[in-house]
Amino acid sequence: MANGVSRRDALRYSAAILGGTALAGSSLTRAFAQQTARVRFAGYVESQEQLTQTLAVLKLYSDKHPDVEIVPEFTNFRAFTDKIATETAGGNAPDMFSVNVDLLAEYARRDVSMPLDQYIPDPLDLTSYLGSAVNAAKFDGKQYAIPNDAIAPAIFMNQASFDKAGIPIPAEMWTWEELREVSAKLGKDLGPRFWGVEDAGGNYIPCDIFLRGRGKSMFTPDHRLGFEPEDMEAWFAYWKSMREAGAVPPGDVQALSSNDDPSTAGIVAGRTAMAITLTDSFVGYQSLLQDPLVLHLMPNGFEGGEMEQRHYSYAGNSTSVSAKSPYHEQIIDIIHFMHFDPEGARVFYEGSGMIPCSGILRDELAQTGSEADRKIIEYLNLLQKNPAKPRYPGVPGMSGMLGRANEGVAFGQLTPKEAADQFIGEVSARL
Amino acid sequence: MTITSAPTAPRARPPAGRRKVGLNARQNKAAFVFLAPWIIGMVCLTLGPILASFYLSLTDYDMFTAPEWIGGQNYVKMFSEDRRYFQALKVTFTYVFLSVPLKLAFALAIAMLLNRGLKGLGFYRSIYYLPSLLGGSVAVAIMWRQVFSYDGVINQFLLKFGISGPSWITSPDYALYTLVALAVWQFGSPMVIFLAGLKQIPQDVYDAAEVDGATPVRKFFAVTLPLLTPIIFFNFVMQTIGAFQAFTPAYIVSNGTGGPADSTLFYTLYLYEQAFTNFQMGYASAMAWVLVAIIAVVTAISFFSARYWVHYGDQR
Amino acid sequence: MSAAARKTRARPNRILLHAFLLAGALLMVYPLLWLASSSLKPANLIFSDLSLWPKEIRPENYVDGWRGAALPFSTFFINSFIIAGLAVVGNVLACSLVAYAFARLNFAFKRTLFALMMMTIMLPLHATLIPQYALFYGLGWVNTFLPLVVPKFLAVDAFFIFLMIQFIRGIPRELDEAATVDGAGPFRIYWSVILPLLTPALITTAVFSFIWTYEDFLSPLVYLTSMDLYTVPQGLRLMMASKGASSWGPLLAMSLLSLVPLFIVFAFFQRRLIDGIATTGLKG
Repeated sequence: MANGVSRRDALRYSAAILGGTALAGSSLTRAFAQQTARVRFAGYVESQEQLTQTLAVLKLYSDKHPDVEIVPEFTNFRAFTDKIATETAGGNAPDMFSVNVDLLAEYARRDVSMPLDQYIPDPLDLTSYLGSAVNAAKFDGKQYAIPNDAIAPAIFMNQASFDKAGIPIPAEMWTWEELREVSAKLGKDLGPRFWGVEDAGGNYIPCDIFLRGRGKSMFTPDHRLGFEPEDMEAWFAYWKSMREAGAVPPGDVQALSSNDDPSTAGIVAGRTAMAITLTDSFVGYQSLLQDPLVLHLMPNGFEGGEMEQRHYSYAGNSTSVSAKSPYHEQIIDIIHFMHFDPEGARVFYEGSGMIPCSGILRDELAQTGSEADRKIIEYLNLLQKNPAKPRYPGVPGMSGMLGRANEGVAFGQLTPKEAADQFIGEVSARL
Repeated sequence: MTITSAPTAPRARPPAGRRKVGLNARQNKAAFVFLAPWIIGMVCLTLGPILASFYLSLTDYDMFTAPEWIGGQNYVKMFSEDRRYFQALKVTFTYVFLSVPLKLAFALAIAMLLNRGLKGLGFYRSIYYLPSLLGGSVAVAIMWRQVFSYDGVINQFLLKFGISGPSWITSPDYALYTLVALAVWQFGSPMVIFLAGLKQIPQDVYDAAEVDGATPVRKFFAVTLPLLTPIIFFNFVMQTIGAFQAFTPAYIVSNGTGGPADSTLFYTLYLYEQAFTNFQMGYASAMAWVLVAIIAVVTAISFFSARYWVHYGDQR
Repeated sequence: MSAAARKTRARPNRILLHAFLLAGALLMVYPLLWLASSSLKPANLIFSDLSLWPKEIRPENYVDGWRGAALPFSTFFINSFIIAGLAVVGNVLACSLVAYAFARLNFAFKRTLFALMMMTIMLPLHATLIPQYALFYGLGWVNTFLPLVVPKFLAVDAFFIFLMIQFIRGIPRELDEAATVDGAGPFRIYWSVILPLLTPALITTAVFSFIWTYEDFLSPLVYLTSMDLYTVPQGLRLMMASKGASSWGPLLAMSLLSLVPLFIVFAFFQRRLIDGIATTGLKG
């Protein structure tokens, strides 16, 4: 076997060096044998576990369908966005690819992605899928992607910090004012150089939840701004008051942690007790920490206001189909295999760290999955008891725009009102 | 290979004037044979994309739908309404003016120290290149934070004197300067080029100077520095171009957002954001061409000034 | 002054020099020490405890990292070595030819062509990425090593051309003229006069070509699409997925490992650069 492999490798390298796309890779032998559909699947993976399982399910499919060759082209999220944009612009879009909610809107409105409504419900039956996630994968009323996983915003709490300060974990339903109070107290008891929660003023999803507490939302279903300037001003003013109360780190300390990167997070470095982020980061954060984390709801309203569950679930990654691909039938069959074939779905999800978007598969995983899987599913089920209105697609670069405005306030360069105006100006230009 | 040449002392002869002879047909032909790979590469691979990017700079292009001709609007917008564009210019110019001279001075000083046949210096030469190998990696980011953050080494030192310092690396007032420090710390590439340049200085020039009783300081200023000017010039030009295009350092501080509060928004970082986050490829291309113009002017000035301070061996 | 006399006088200076250099070396080597130590830690100690001494050791990081979730890391190393190796050959050959023409020969449009060459390095990479991609796609070169290797043989790296021009211009013209008197044409002069004297610049070009090609991320990202052609930085990027439980330790382990070939190449060549030339280079 070793000989065979090295000979194949040698062929592959010479093909790669000498050129000829069709000859590269293992398609060498197959290309002549029969009509093979060569389906390029480009995607981003957010964990090693997910990568392993995705590759395994694709291989399983190829083994069962010798007439379909799947070429996996995976990388991490940031690299993926550059890569797919370049390929698409250069006329070489992959046949199927991963998208998140914001990318979906960009690729759908430019007709790079294909609407999939003709394949729903047969063969792709999404009835057991989280409604909010299915909706978040729509653009202009059409289904442009099939959601793979289910994620939701949450606040992570370091149990040890609460114990040390002798503060109980807050009730399930709590207010933004209580968050300030608890955080300030944590900061006072465990400080100096310790703060209750990380500044989430530049974070898009919590801002949306905050706006919903005021009866508004970041975007409307018809892709417009869903709030008034004073709502956004209230958001920046809230975080300003948090800073003044010592509840969140000052601007320069906060800037040490960047969104989406647990390795720089204050809660990992041990300078905060809480962090607002998404459920799919739970395992990643927990793996970097020695203390156990609690998965908790963010505040759901304001003192004296109406309290209601406002956390929506959506898909962190969905699969979209290139409009130009000649292999639409094969791609739908691959998606079907990954989601609905019992064997395929098991390989795709089990041990991948992804929580399936399908309710049936979620219930199965609740039985067989890891401790962390169960905690997240429990949390998602809690949200489903009283589902919130779904997330509406926005524009890319939200965290950049919101983050800059919030930092402007944090460093005393902008008032909350100016920050709101700056943010609204920048977002409006892109709608 | 032994070659006999006897330049008695540097700059002993006045630089030879440009030869006034016209083009020698045979030499002309030979030249184009030497140039052939480059000309083929230029025509077939490089020129097309360059021209295309200039064309795109005159269009509204979102990368997925066909570019739409808008003339000079991208350029007008850049200079009339884009506040962040001016911030990017300010950041980049500050970075270029500070990092290039500091880095070159450092690289030259260390290269002089290490340019000896002494045992063990090879070890240092390799070690001193390490930071340049690490580039913008996690390890470097962690170290820079451990030095420059709110509870970093510097602040712990200041605390002994009762001074409570800011988080230098993430304060909008200082973040850029910590990146200048990073650039100076990663002085490996110009150092290596200086070392190569120092190696090329013929030993007999030093011997001649020694016969004349020159002191080490005198030897440095009369022999080393003048003979090294072509290499100093090269490093200066290339480091300047590189600093104008600085991109990765921003990942050390802000994970590539240009923060805090746009204080490390390098020109190419902003260009990249426009192209790949906002899908404004036309605008990004226009930004690229303005950068080319800026760099071209600076480079042209350098080349012009070179006539007065760069001494080429072939002009002796 | 005799060499021996010089040596004795230099002794205290040398100790001082070594002390100074050693202090500097510590500052240089710190991130590497952090990387080495962290690559052996379990994930929950990497960022929560930044001390250099690992309290707990997890050597499996190296095994897991090398095995990889998608492909073994050896695949990425082999791909990177092939590409970087070819880039070295291409740059050294092509750039020295072109630099010789610019530095020594007279030809039509010399200044214009030189300015054009300099301009190619002034344009940021991101601006030409898409037209360049479309071009290589049109040639059918996407998903092969060709877009990463062929340009090097066509002297696309103006950095190295300019570098060699500066070095060639530092070589006295008398040498060429002497060779011309002996009846040598431009090719003989290039081969037997210029190239041997250009060794420091050629070595520098080789080292930097290798290191920079090996470290390059953006071009391999877009041109090498299928995973079995990925290079080392792409392999590392696959591990840089931040949401799972098991990626940080292996990522740091492979990051450290990926520096080893670069360090070896550099250490080997710097020795040649300094020690090698002194005996073979210019000696009157």
